[in-house]
Amino acid sequence: MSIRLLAEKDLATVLEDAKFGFGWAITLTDPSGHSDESLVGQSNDISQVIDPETGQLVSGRAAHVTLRISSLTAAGFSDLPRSVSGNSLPWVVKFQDINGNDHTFRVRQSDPDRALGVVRLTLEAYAQ
Amino acid sequence: MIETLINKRDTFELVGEQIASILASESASQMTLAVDDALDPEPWELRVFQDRANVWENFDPETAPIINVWWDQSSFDQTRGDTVDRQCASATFNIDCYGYGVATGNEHGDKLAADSVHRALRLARNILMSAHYTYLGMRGIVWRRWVESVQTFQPAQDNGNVMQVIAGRIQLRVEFNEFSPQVIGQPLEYVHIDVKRAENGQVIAAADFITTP
Repeated sequence: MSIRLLAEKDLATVLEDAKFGFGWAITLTDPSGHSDESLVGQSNDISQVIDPETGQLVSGRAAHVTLRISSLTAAGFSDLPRSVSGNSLPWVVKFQDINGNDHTFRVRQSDPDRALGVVRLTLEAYAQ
Repeated sequence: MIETLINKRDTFELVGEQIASILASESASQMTLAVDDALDPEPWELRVFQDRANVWENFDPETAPIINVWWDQSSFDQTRGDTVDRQCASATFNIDCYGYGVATGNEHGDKLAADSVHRALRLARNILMSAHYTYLGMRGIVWRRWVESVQTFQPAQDNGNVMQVIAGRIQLRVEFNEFSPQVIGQPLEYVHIDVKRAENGQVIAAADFITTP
């Protein structure tokens, strides 16, 4: 087996292991409403300042999730999640923080790595 | 030495406070007018601050635009004033506006943030340039106020922040008088002079001197 294929299979351990690794339950919903609550990937949600160019900073957050592309396909998603610039509904991502609080985001930017088989989603706040 | 304590505030300080006060009070008034017209008052809400430099942490859960009134500089025109008492200052005040947007449904957070900051800029400019505030309520001190520029700043997207915040700036130029401590004169001699015209047209000045030995 090629080492790249081996690396993709290793994602089950390094990315999706919620028992002994950093895997974290993530819910993904596409614009058509198709949703899967059983996805596991990696997520972060940390403080980050915004520089609005006035010389004064604004307190903000940075949040991302990383998902395995083959798991998305297996879950029935025909496209990769991406930012929606038109008038359709966005791709929505939900996950809990370490203290069990729910957070909902929309996909702001999608950075797929088709060589390794992961997609990293940059998120923004979303009010449903 | 200056004999009196300098226990006053310069005009640039008063003008800065006046600008913030006008914006805050007019925002509240506009919200009341909106309610009177059976409209949602929220679009007329402004949160006004003055000379704040700390990081803004005011956008969760509140979402109304923030305005920070910031005195930038004063310059003095030598042709408008004197070297002793009064100088005309031309000051620039930055009216910095911050808009916040949270995506909802198919509405995008960046567009909502832009709409929010545009609304704040619109309200601030209309209020400050209204006929009601030609002299910012300080006639006799303020000569003129003038919006020199309105601009927004393209937000840097490289960090991909969860929060959508866009800022804009009104540069308001205000011309006003600044005053400085004066010498309090001491009377030395009192002189009384009567000036009369004689029948032949000669001007006659009769002076009384009360001299101190």
